[in-house]
Amino acid sequence: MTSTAASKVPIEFNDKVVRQFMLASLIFGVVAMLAGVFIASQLNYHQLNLAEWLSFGRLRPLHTNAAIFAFVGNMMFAGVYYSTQRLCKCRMGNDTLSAIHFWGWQLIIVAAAITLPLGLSRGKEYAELIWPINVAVAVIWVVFAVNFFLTLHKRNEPSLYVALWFYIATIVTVAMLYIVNHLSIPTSWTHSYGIFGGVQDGLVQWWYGHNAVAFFLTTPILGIMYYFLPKAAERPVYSYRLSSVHFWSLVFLYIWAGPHHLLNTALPKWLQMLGMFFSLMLWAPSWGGMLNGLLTLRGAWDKLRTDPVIKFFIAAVTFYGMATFEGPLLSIRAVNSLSHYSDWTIGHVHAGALGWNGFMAAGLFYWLAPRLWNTKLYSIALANFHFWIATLGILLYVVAMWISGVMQGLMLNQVTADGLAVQNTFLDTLQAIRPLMGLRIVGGGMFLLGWLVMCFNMWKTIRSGTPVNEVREVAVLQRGTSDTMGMKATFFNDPTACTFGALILILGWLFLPRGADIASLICAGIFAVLAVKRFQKTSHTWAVWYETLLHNYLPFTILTFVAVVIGGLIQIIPTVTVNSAKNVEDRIQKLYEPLELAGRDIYVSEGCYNCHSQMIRTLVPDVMRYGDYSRLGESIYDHPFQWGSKRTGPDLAREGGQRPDSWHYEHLMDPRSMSPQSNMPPYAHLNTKPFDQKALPSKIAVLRQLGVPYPPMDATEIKMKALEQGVKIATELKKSNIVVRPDSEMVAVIAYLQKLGQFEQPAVEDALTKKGQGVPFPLSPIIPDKGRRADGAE
Amino acid sequence: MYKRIIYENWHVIVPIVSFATTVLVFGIMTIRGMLLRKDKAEHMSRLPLE
Repeated sequence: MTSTAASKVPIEFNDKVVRQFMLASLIFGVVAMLAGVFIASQLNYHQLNLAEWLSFGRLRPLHTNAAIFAFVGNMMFAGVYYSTQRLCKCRMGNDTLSAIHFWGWQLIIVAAAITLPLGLSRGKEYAELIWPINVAVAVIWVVFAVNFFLTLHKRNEPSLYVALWFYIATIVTVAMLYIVNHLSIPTSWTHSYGIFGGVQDGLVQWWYGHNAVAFFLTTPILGIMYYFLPKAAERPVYSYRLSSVHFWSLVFLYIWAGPHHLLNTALPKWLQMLGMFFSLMLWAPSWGGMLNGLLTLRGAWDKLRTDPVIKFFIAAVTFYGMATFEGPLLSIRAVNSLSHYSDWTIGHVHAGALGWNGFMAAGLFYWLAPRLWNTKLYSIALANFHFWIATLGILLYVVAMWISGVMQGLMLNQVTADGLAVQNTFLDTLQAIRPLMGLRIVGGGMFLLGWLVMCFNMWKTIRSGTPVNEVREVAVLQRGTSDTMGMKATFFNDPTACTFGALILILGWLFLPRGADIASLICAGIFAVLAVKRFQKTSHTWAVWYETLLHNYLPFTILTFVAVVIGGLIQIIPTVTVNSAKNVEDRIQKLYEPLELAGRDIYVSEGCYNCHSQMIRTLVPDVMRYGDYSRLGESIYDHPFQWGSKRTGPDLAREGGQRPDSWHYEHLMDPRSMSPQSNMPPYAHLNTKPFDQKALPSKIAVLRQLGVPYPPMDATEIKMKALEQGVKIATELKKSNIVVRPDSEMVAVIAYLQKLGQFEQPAVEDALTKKGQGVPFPLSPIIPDKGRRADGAE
Repeated sequence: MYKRIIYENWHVIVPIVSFATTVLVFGIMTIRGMLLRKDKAEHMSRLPLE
C-alpha cells in the first residue's frame, strides 16, 4: 500500500453488528450447553429419549453444531468485527454485507435447529446439515469474506497485525474445507450423497473435522487472543517475533494432522503415520502461542486477582496449552488404541471447547459489554462466581471423562486368564462408567450455571447503559487504487522461488518412481545449499519482501492459502485417485439391495453413527470382540462412511447374520428387553412409518453416478425388489409371532443391519486364505507390493 | 507412482519427512523473526494499543 498521512477525520465504527453477534452467542451458548447437559443425561437415563425428535442420535448433532457454529461462530464474528475495525482504523467494508452476514448466519442456525431433530442429516460429524443449508453457509461465508477483505482494502493502517493474519487464515481455510467436505449430489431437496465414499470419505471428513477444530475453533480465537489480551493487560504482546513463528508454523502444520482421527483403522498406514507425526510436531507452535499469551501478562500478574477478564483469558490460554498438549498425546498410535472410541476423547474435546473457547468467549464479553453499552460491568462478584463455578465444572467434567475413557478402554481390552476370550461384555463396561457419566452431567451443569449467571450479569449491564458506536479520530491515508504488491512481486522472488523449488523436489522424492526419487532428493539437497548461499548474499532483499508482504493483504492471503492447501493435496489426491474399487485387491463390499439402502439412510438419519462404529481396528482386542479386522474395500461403496468416532454401543461392522431378525426387532422396539441395562434409545416409531419407496430410484441413480456399480434398473424394478425383501423379512418375523408391515422403516433397518459385514472375496485373497489355513491372522500382507507377489511367492 | 505410496511399506520414512518439513518451516520463520527490525517489531506489537 502506498500511503501518506493526511489530516485526521472522525470515523464511527459499526459496533451494532458486534453487539448483535455477541448477544446471539450468549443466547446460543445457553442452547448448546443445555442440549449438551440434556444429551449427557440421556446417556445415563434412557427414559429421557422422550420422542423420536428428542432422541440422543438426533440431538447430539444439534449440540455439536450449536456449540461450534452458533455459540463459537457468533462469538468469533463479534471479536473479528470489533478488532478488525480498530486494527484497520476504518469502519467495516459494507454495512449491508454486515447485516446480511448476521441475519443469514442466524437463519442458518434456525434451519439447523429445525432440520436436525427432524432427522435430516448427511451423517458426517459437524457436517450433518443438509445440502440447501450447506449452500447457504457457503454463500454467507463468502459475504463475510468480501466484507472482511473490503475492510482490509480501505484500511488506514498499512501494517497487518498478527490477529488479522489469523482471521485471513480462518476465512480461506474454512471455505476450502467446508466446500470440499460438502461436495454432494442431491437426490431430493432434503437428501444428498457425498461424492466421496468409504476410505476417501473418511479421510476427507477428518481432514475437515480436525481442521474445523483448527481453523474455526482455534485460529480465529488466537487472533482474538492476540488483540484482546494485550488490550485487557494494557501492554503489548510478549513477542511479536514469536507470534510470527507461531502463525506460519501453526497454519502450515495443522492441516496435515487430520488422519490421527483414523489411527489403527483400514486407512493406509502412511497416512496414519503422517497424521501422527504432524500432530506431535504441533506441540511446538501451540505451546509457542500459549507462552506468548501467558507472558503478555508479564509485570501485571496482580491483575489476575482483580480483573475477571484477565482471569478468563489466562485460564483460557492455559486450557489451550493443556488441550494442545493432550491432542498430540492422543495422536500417538499406542495411546490412541486405548483412547479412541472412548470418553477420553470427549474429555479432551471439552477441555478445548469449554476451557479455551468458552472462557475466551466469557473474557471477551466481559470486556466488550461495558464498552459497547458505555457503562460499567454490573457485578464483578458475579463474574468471579462464574469463573470459579465454570472452572470447577470443567475440571469435574474432564477428569470424569478421563477416568471413564481409560477405565472403559482397559476393560474392553481385558482378556480371560487363558487369553482366549474377552473378559467383559460391552454392557459390563457401560455399567462401570455410569457414575462417571453422572459426574459429567454435574460438571456440565455447573458450567451451564456459570453461563446463565453471566447472561444475567450481561442483562443487568446492558440495562444500565445505552448502545454506543465508538467514534475515533483517524489519520486517513491516501493510497493508490489498491495495495501495490503485484503477483509478479509476490511469486517471482528469491524466498518464494526457493520454497516452491525445494517443495517440488521433495515431492519428487515422494512421488517419482525408484531412481528418479533419489535423483530428486539429491537435487533437493543441492538446491538447499544454493538457497542458503543465495540467502547469505541477498538476505536484505528477503527481509524487505517479507515486510512488504505484511502491508499487502491479497498476496498475504494467497500465500497463506498455499501454505494450508499443500498438506491437504498431498494427503487427499493420492487417496482419492488410487483407492477406488478397481484398485483394491482385497475384499470388496457387497452392494446394498434397495431395501438395505433405504434402511441405511434411516440408520444415518437417526444418527446411529454417534454411538456405533463400523470399523474393527487392527488391534487384537477389537478382533477378539467384534471379528476379523475391517478391510479398506469393505466400506468402499458407503456414502457416507460410517466408521464412527465414539463407541457408546458396540461396533457393528460385522453385525450382519449374528442374530435373528426377531432379536433386532425386539431390540429396536425396546433395547432393554434384549440387552438389560443398555442405554440405547427405543426406536418403536420405525415400526409405524413406511420407508420412502419413491426416493429409492433417484438415490440409486445418484449412487451409480458416483461409481457404485448398480446394474441398470427401472423405478418399478427397484421398488419391487425392496418390497420382495421386505415381505421375506416380515414372513421370517411372523414365525416368531411378530407382525410387521413389509414396507415399514423397521424392516428396512433390519435388512441393513443384517447386511453389515458382507463382502466379495476376490480370488487372490481366497487363494491366500486357503494357503494360510491354521494361521489366525495373515502374517504377510495380502495386498501385493514390490517385494511380494499375489500368489505368495517371494 | 502413487501405488508405491499406498501399498508399499515405505511409511518408515514418513517420520523423517514430517520432521524435516517441520524443522524447515520453523527454521525459516525463526530466522525471519530474528531478523525483524527492532523498531518494526515494536511498532507491530503496539498496534492493538493505539
